[in-house]
Amino acid sequence: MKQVLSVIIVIITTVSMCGCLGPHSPDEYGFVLAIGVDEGKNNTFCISFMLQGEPSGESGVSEGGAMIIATEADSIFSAVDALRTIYPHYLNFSHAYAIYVSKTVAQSELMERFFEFAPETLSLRQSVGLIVTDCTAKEYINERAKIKYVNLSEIGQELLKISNTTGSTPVATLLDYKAALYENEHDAIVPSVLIDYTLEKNETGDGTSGTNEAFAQPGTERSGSETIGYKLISGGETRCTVRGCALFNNGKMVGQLDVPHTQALMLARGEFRKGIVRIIVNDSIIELDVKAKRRPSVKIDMETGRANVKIEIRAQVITDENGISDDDLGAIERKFADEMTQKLIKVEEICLQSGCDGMKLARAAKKCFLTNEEWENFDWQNFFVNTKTEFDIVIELTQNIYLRHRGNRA
Amino acid sequence: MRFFSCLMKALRFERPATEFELLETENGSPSGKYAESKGSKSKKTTKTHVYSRLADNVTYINDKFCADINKDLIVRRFKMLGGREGMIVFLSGMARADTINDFVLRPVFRCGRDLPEGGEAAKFLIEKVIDVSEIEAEEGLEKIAYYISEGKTALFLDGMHSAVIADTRGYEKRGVSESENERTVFGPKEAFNENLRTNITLLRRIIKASDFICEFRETKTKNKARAAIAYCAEVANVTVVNEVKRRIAAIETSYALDLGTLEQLMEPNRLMLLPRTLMTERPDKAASHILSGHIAVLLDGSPFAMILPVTLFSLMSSGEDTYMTAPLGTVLRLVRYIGMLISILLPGYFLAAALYHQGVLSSEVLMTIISSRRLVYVSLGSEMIFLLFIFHLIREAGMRVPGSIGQAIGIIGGLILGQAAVTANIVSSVVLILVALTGLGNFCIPNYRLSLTASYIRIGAVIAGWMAGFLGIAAFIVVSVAYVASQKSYGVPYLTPFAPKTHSKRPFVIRGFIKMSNRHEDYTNTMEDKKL
Amino acid sequence: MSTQGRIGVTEGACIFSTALVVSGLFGSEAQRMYDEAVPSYIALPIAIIASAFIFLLVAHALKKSRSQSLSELFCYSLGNVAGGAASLVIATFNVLLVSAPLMRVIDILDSYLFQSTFANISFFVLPAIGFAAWMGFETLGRTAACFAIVLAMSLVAAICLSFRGYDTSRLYPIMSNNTGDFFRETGASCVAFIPCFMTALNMTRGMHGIKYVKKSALISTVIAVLACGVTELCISMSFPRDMIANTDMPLRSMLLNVFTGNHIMRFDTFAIFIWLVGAMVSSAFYIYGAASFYAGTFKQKDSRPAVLGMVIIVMCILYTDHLSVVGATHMKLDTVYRYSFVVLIPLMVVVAVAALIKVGIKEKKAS
Repeated sequence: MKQVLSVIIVIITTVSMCGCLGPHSPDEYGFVLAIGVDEGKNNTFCISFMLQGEPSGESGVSEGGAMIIATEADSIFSAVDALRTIYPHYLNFSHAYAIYVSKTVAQSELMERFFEFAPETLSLRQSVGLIVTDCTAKEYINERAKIKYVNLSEIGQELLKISNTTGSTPVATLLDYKAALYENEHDAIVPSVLIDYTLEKNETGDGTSGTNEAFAQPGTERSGSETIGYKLISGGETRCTVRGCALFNNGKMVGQLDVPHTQALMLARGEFRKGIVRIIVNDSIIELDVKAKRRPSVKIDMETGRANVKIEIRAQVITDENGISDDDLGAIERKFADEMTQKLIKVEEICLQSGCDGMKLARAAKKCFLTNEEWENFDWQNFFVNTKTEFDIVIELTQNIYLRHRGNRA
Repeated sequence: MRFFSCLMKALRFERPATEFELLETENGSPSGKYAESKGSKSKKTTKTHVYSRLADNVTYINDKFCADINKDLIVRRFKMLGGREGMIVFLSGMARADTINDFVLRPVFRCGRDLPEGGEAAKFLIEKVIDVSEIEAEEGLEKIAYYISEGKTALFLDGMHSAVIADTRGYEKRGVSESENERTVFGPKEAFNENLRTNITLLRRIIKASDFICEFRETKTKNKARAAIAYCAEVANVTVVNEVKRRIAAIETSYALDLGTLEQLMEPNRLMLLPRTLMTERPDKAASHILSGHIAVLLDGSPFAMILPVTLFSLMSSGEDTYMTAPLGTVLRLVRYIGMLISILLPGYFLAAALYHQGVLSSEVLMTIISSRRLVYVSLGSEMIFLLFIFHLIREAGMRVPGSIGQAIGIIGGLILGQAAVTANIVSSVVLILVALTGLGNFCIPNYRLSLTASYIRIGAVIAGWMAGFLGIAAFIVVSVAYVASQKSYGVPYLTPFAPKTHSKRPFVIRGFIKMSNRHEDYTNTMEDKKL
Repeated sequence: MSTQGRIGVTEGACIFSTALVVSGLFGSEAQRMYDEAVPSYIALPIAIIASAFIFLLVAHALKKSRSQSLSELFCYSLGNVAGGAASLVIATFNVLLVSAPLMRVIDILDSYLFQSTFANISFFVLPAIGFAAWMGFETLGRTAACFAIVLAMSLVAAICLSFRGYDTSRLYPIMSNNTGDFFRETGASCVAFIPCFMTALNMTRGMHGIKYVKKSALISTVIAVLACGVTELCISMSFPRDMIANTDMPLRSMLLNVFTGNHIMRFDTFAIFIWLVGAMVSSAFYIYGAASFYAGTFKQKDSRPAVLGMVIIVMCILYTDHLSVVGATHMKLDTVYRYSFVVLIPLMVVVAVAALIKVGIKEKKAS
């Protein structure tokens, strides 16, 4: 008995010497949902944080939307420290879903300087999305914060849904950006967004969203046959729009693509899952439901610098009960292949000019080297700008006949 | 200085040498050190024989039972036809007067002239005179006194060197009623009562096997509590049987009124947190364990049977599992295990997640917690411990108050107290719901003692989660599992057949098909396994 | 020797495979391998297999010499004094193998998950390890059997959840810069596995004989080869090499990269604590092993007092290594790992060969 008691006393004494490990009640935290990075004065940053709004009632629903706090600082750590004086909570980054970086910051050395920190030190996940904004990040976050009643944690899923359903924007995480810095590959692409103020002009006087064609079909904005942008599905309360993707090289933004070219690039990268592509055949707009059949195969000849990208797509034309003849189907297939090839050539041109290896040719080139030392000593950047890529697009086109419902006869 | 010497003593690690091990190869006679029962420090008593003079026997009996103040003792002296003196001794209330009058006294009176002289008289009385089914001659006065205490009648005759003991027991006892603590929807409803004979009868009605043995053992207690060791001779491991007998023989204490006390006296490790035996009041459960190779110990005066050896999985199973089909029984068991895990780990997990690892909770849950705790002035950990304590209070109060009032207290305590506490901002609704779930999980554990253990372990998990988040929970789980893995019930490791894995393919969490149950549980090394 | 209890093949396989996998994934210097561009998904399995071969050689010598434990074999081969010293060498390696994975895991907890000090966190971990080791080999085996499935499932879950981030192009180029680097790193990795096998050989009494020890060890070898190989392959496919070389725990980083937009998929926090439990069980095994070697050397009947001593030594090593990580001192653990295989492997081979030679000579004399 005494033996056991003395052992228990020793254990309790030892454990109680540790104390607690810094517990904090949830109400002592401010949960950061998004971070905005803009250029500040004197080579600093203007960092904004979108926080989960305080619940107003017992229901726990964030009826107050989100809260924005911002400060100028040299780094995110300095910003966190500075904000403690005005916001008396600990900032908790475990729920952050996105980092918005303004275009001016993305195009300068400030981008790489900002992301020097290890995200785990702030409990920030590496899967946090990285997004470039055409406007300032603070404006964009303010626009997003207008959402009054929404499950705020679903905001992070919007871009993913758009990427999975339309293929018009990539999903880039902080890890993708940092990995590109480590590797000799320079192939990071990041979603690009902006606030479309033109939508405001078409609103009715009372600000309701009934009459604007863009608002009437949330998710799609069209101009003629091309899709310009996809409005983020937020209940029609904001004007935030996806505009394509930003190309990166050596940690800096070096170019931008619009939505159709982003779709083409994503097909070439193997990140396109499915989406709608519109083409004009014989003066009529044809919508194709496109899915990637498998990952594209990329081969590169290290001696000649010639690369070959083979893309296999499954496409469906949605028609009415009359259907489309085989000849017309063939014409659509050829037109689609031509248009896609043209887009890919344009994308290749932009990538070569900017130095961003958007099509991941370097990853294919690595397979030709036996040892790591050989690859590290190889000057890929110089080799890349002289490559010539051929695109081989294989399309499996089918038609999906949609039968119209016949109502009851009187 | 004293503490230092205790610490030095503690660190010397002197393990007791008599720890019982049920070795895999041992299913026959026990090993050398168990061949003789150690620990019995019984004094050598001289056996007092029945005196030939009746007056000496009377004196002895009166002294033994303190007849001048113990008015229950009845000494009825008589003279038979032929002039021979005799007496019967019995305890009023324990012995049935009708039986004594009709089947002992009357035939004895009538046979007076035919009675032979001396020692032959006892044999004559037993074989030809007294009309009672259980009758024997006894020479030892100590034993005779014990039989009288049991409710039997002792007949002394002048010049006879032994007494005739007739079974005239007829005391009041409770009948066979329904089980109160182990209710099932399907299956038998009978329960044991306080009478040992009745309990054995209930077992024999189910186990109609010729090898079903009930060995009686008397404990060396003042109340001479009689225990019965029930097992199937062709199945049970003899080593375990002998170990049980050895432990019962080693008991020397003032009294043992209940099986709970007996269990603690039989167990060398007095600080056990986990139950080493299964207490059941259902004869069908006891019988199924006996047929599987376990041993049941019954005690006169206790309405339970103590099944041993047991494992954690046998404590978690209920009779209801067997009476359902396999899929339904499996679902019931899974719900039970999940309930047990929820009962032990949920409060600690919640504290750890809310205080240290908010990233594992979604923002909606976090906002719900924040909004529910808006005006609560106690910390989350204190709130949790307070509510767990209240839950225990309500449970104890409900058990102590009889009948339907007890059930009402549970409902009233839960609903009204809980609602009032939330309204008064003493606790938050989220924590209240969690504690209620914890309580429900606790009630899923079929064994009462195991559920109590789970309640205490839960406190440790809460403190660990409060102090160190998931780190504390992880350390706590390692310590708990190591402790449970180190426990043994009469030589059988507590986590058998999971760890150690046994040869039996009988599932222990998922309910197997009934045909698989034909195989005995092999962790007790039954005689059947030896044959196979 | 102390009453260590007995366990079967299943529990033996569970405890040995837990120790091997934890040592391989968290205790070996895989980060250095990535730095040297050595494919860890090839080097680690080869190291495990090589260690298993050394184990079989020593087991054969144990069987031939009819020794009851490895300590006895050391004394038989090298004499009492040298044999005792060899036992203490293995005990030292055991203690180091406790420190290495614990060091990494506690560093992660200290740096990223708790606002506390390194010492505070280790005070929670070490008493639990000490308790488990104190309870004995039988309890350790059963505890490992309880946790083995959970550990395996956590590894499988980590690999499956990170599926989207795999890119086979990151495996190229496959070869390291030169073959010498590959063999040196493979040899250095053996240090993470040989002590586990040697501790297993010291537990023959606790496993009903050398036959069952061999069976358990071979099963564990297969499990460890699969687990370490597949996990390292997945890590190599998830990140660039240079990035892994600078990451504290790439396996955890792999899980931090999981993004399905769904909160439920956030498995990383649970995973680190499940791996901590694995590290604790493995550490308890090594501490018990070290204590049993110590007790064997000094002919102690009970190894439990030595367990407490080993726990305190581990605490000191952890704290010293932590100070070196934060730059307070210059003592580093990886220096030991880098070159100690040139001592360990020849020692084992010499012991085995010496024993076999002695047995051969005895048999010749007898015939």
